[in-house]
Amino acid sequence: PNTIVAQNSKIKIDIDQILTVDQVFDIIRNQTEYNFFYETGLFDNLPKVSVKRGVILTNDLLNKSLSKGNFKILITKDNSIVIKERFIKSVAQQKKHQISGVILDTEGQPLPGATVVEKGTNNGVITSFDGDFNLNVNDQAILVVSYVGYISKEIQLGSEKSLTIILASDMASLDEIVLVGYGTQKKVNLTGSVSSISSKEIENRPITQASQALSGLASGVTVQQGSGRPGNDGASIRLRGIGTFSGAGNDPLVLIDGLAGSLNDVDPNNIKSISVLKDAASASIYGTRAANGVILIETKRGRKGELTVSYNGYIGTQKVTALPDFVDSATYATLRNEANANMNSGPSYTDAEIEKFRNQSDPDNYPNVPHLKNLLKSGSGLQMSHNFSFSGGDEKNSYLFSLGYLDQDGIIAENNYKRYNFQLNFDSQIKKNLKLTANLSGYSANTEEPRHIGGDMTNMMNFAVRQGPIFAGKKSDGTYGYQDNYSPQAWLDSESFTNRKNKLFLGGTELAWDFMKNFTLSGKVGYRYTNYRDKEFLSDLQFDANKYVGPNSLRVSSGFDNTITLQSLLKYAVNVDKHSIAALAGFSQEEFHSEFVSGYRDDFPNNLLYEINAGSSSNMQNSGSAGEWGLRSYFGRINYSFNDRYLFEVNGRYDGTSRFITDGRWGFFPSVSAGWKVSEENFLKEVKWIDNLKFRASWGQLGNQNIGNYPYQNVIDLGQNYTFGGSLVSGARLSTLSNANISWETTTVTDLGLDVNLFDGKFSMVFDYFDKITSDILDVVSVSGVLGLNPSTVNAGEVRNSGFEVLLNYQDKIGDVNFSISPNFSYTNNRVTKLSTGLNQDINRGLFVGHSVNSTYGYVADGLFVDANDVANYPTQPYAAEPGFVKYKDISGPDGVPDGKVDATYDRKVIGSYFPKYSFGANLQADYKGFDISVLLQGLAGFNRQIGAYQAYAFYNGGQIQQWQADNRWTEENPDPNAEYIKLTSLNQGSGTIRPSTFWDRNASFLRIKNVQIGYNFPKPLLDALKIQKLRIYVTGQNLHTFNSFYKGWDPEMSQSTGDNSPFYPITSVYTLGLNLNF
Amino acid sequence: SDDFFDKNPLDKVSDATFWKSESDAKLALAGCYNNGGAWNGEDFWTARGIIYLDFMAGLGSEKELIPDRFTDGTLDPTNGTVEAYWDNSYRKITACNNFLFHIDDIVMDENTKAIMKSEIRTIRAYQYFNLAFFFSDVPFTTKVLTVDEANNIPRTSKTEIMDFVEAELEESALNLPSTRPTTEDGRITSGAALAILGRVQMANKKWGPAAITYKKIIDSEAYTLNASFETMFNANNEINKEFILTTQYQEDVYGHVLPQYLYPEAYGGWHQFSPYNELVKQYECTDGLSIDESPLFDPANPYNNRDPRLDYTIMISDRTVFQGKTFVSRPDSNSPDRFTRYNWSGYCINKFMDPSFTGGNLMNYGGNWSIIRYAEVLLSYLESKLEAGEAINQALLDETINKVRSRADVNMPAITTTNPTELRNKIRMEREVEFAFEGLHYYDILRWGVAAEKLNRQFTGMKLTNDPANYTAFDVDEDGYLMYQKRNFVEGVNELWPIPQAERNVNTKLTQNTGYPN
Repeated sequence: PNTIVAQNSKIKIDIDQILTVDQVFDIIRNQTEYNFFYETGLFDNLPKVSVKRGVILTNDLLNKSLSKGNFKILITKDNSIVIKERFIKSVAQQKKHQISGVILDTEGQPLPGATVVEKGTNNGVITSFDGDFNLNVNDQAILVVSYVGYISKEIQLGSEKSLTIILASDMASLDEIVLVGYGTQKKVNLTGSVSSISSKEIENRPITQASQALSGLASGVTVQQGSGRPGNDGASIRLRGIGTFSGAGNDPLVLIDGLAGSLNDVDPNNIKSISVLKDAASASIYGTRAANGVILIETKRGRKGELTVSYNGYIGTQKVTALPDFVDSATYATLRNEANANMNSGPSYTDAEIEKFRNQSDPDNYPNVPHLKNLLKSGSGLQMSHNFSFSGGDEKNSYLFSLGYLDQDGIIAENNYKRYNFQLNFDSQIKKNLKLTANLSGYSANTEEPRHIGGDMTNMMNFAVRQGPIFAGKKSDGTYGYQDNYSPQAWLDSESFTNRKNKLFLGGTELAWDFMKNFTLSGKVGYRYTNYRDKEFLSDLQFDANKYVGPNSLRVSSGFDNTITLQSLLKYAVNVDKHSIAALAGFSQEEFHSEFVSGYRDDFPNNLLYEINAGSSSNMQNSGSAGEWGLRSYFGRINYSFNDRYLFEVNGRYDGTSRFITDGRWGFFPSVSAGWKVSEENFLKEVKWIDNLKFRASWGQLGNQNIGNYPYQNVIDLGQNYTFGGSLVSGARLSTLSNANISWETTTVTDLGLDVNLFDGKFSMVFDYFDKITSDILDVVSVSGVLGLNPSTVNAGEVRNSGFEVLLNYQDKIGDVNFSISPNFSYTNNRVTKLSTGLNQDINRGLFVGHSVNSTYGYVADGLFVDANDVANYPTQPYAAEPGFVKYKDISGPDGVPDGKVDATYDRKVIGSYFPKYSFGANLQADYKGFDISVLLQGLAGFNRQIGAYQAYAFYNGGQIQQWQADNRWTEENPDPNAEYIKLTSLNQGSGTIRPSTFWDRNASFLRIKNVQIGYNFPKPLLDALKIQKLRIYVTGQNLHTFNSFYKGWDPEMSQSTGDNSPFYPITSVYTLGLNLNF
Repeated sequence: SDDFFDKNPLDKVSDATFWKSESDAKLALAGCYNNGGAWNGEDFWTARGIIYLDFMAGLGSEKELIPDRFTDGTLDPTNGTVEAYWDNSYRKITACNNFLFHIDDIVMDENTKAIMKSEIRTIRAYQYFNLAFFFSDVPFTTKVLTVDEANNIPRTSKTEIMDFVEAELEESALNLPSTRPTTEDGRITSGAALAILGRVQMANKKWGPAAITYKKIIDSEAYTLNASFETMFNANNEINKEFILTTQYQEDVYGHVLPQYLYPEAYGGWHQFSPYNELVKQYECTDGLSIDESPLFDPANPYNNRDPRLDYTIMISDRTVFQGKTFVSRPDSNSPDRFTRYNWSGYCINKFMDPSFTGGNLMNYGGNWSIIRYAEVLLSYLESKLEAGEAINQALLDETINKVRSRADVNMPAITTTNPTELRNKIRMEREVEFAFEGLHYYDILRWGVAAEKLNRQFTGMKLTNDPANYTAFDVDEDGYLMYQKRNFVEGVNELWPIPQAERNVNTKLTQNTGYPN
């Protein structure tokens, strides 16, 4: 027998007894971290072993048990002990032929130490360091291949001599390890609420930014991707609702291999796993930045073995998910005349003109141009991604190097995003007790966008919504039609552009030293550097003989920020009898610094010169600034478990920040949690179909310090200049009233959870109830304009999120079909529980005690007025009401009853909320022989939205009209009080009929077929011939369909505001064809 | 303390280190004058904020009806523009209050300091006067409030505020210089403080004191009328002795956007404003008679033989030439300005159109904006004498109204009537045509008490036909002018602006003005 088993690990025997070898191994398994792998029945012929009460070294016990047999013992890195019979020559001679092969995981990485056994015999081997094996087998033998953490496979041998066997990881395995703060934990031993996602669930989807990856996969996580704008299409992530309405924000803290950053820092291809720490117990170790939850990302690492090269790539095309349908120019002109008539003014177009719009005989002067449609189809929408990774290593060192390339054309012309990523992860076991881990990663990205006088291309889209078909695009003489300073076509054709270059470098090195038994000391240094350079060039433009817009101008901005992290951890772990204790103490410090400069010039000699020096110096402007903050922290954790049944954990963090005044600088954030593995209790242990049943409970506090760099200091703004005698004189002015007593927001979370695993891993469920209260919310209280200053923030508000979330998983096998279904559902009741002193509503900011953050406040609509009589007999409206306009209900009055008069004070109420109460998703997967399919569904529900002015109202400020408005409008001939659209008139900001009311609110709930992927793995014989380990081709469709009842032509998930200026970039569907290749 | 944690702003002056030296005082002084420039608009100092007042007064219409709403019967407390005037006014008042609170901490030349304080008190007084004039009772404070105080401050009576304003202006005028070196052009002078005081006194019908105030300005001999009406508002003429109170701009670095609004589309503008024909009709014929009386008036060619200020003020289709190009707004034309394309009257504004401004950015114009000019002092002086009941003689007429009318490029016949009723009408007509679109007409019709009469009627646009009876293309009145817009000013309500709803949402102590939804 081998002696690699740690000499010191001890086994406790409760009573004197005589055991079979199998029983001995069960005892060792229960009391140590070792797992045993051997063919069932291997020890059937061995004599039983007598053991005495007391403590015995594991090694001795093994020796004693196996001394009677002829065994070979192999220890693998994962604390697995593989035992097999030594080959006996006589047996080998019976074998008919020899086979060889390699065992790989789904990513093509070799699995050293996997067991390959001929079924029903003792004949087997362990794969070598490179995952290879050789074995003599009988004809028609069945091979059983197993490896810890992977699903075992049986293979019926045919005539082949060489095999490549791929093992899939066992997702539901109870041994699954998840990332937690400053470490890892077995999923079964978690006491906090953690969602984990593996690379398998996100791979091969056309994800351009890593923040999109979480969509639909995790419970308690609300992901909203508001646009498809290349390079700027990251999603917003909210964990368990909106905790605050202040500027401190709701973004979770993101750590990449332990360093704070942004989710989008990572190439989605390099993600190995994501952990979402949702409750205070799991997040409080991150203290004052953890209030919105914490997302931990671990990148892929190399493994010992020969060099493996893998390629993952796809190419595809995008198109908008929804496009509003505007009427043509003849209809536009006809309806415009109808609107004029409704306003008692003469027609804008004669019948002859309308006819010209209709027959298109003079398209320069009587055009019919669908501006938005043209704009959104001007780009190729082509998208491709290529990722190469190289990995390998030996016993001591391993590496992974990955190179990625993403190239995404917009759906609008001249819009492109390119990104080059690299990642180098390196591990070295320098000495037996000294390990070095290093990660370097970064990207270089380049964004190109068209630009126009109103700003970037998202504004261009908004103006294309406004610009009616009666305005020409490019005319036959080369001039352009335009409205005000806008013409999507002219600006697109112009030399105007936005160019953004972003660079990121993220590096971290950690040295871990097992300096004495049970103790590990580690030190880590991290550095994150980002840098940007934006160039915004606006050309001058001659639309036609009348219309010149200029001069041309250029703004160049450039800046960087860096964060230096220092961190030190001391870890201790020990098992004594049934007690298992782990402890962690740590120190960390982060220092942030950012700077930018910006320069501006105009009057360039032409539109092809766009370096700053080429502009006129007469109007050159520049600006620049810098900011910094520091955070220093001490933290710790103790885990204690008794008999593997009762689990306890305590966390604490003491944080000091530069953002607050000296006296209030330090804060303490504690948490406690406990778990009870009921399934380990004697009364359930015999119930075979229950694998795991665990109750969890936790409580803790978190902070949010993200409130500006110098919030406690009164500062005077410079640059408030004025002209005296024809020259500019510098001016300064107090513009904000500060609050010296400002402090962080505190979030207190209580969580009750239940984990269930049944039927040998086929079914699992994670259920959590949570109650999360954020108090001391920094509230920029609505103040009277009489103050004349931007008001100071005070720690005044309170928001409560409570609800539940559940994640189910069922996986099984029917014949050759493996499938899994994994739905999740979250419900969050979000409400403001306190505003600043004495207030129970802050109408101007949509905050109402008892209602969710982002509530809509307005009138209750009672359909449309039918005629003048109706107007006269209905309660007096707060505006000059007319037939065909919205009727606001008289809800109440000064005496608490309807007073026959509709007014702002008594007749408005909370009519809806932008906050989605329900969030859900489902991941469905199946494979059959070489084929696999996966379907991802995602949805949000229980919220209402309104959209922007040009987008929702016909003829708004000279805007156009959509088909649904034309089709469903109220008319004098058909004065339907329930018409979907009002009487046509010119509308603008002050129009009484478009005030916030239930009439304009739409249910924004949706269910989206987020992704469908169908793949095929080429069969082994073919691959062998090509010397390839793995080849898979697949097709995917992203955002295939959305079920909803929102405004026709508008995607409910797309972000746009409700004002006149509501820039947007549509969400896109992506169809791709992809390839995975390992060799 | 600890270097790691002591992080201070790197690009701003901290409160603790400010208010130390005279240069700090200068910075803060300019900070009080600052209005934001560029697009910053709705207040009583900026070009756009002031020109809006005359659309409220019914001299024309704005394309998106933003100022029109104040007087067309649809004004209500949620109107964002009302709120903007309110907010911007208090922002300036707070800057002034903060300046006056801290200035005495600075050790510097006391005389310089006294002048600075008077300037700031004058700016604040102008602000409070406008608030009280348009809103009546408003919150009043002379110190920087806390949030709590601001959210609970009640309205102070208009009378009390007007008394404060008068006292402040009178006192400030004593400390201010009557003229400034050109490097300080744009800073408040004693003449500016007195000219504001005159407006306040006229608004409050204190005719005698108003006449005395105006006489002081005249006697200071600091101001004269500009020889040309036509070119007075051009940027290259922006420093002249007629301007008493101005908002100063500088091209590119602190410009404003008015030309973008003002210019017709054919010249690259947005054609944002449309004068009404009712203003056009006010201009006399060259014989000094109104169009109803004058034999020179030709209904078929209604724009001929008129007070030259008509052409200087209004762009008329196929008549007005700007930068070598004729303005066209006829419906049968292909012009981008043909009135049917938008909610337009067919007229555009010609005043402030600066032919010397070529090739520049229409949104970054540097021409100063006149708030009060000497012609107003002369006409107001005459009006206060008349309303005070003092005898009017030809000498007085010649020193005031006739001086304005006899400007070289105006050259209208002298007024000779001393009959109070006739003269009153003449003065009012003169003010309307002389100051059209300078933001004064709204103030005038409100204090004259004629707003309801002027604003509750049908307005017309350009002349479309000489044969209205047989004309069917567009609705026209009996003289062939475009039937343009109707306003439904609510008498007894719309004379005041409503207290903004957003303010009342926050401060429950604020009552609403009569007639507005509570």
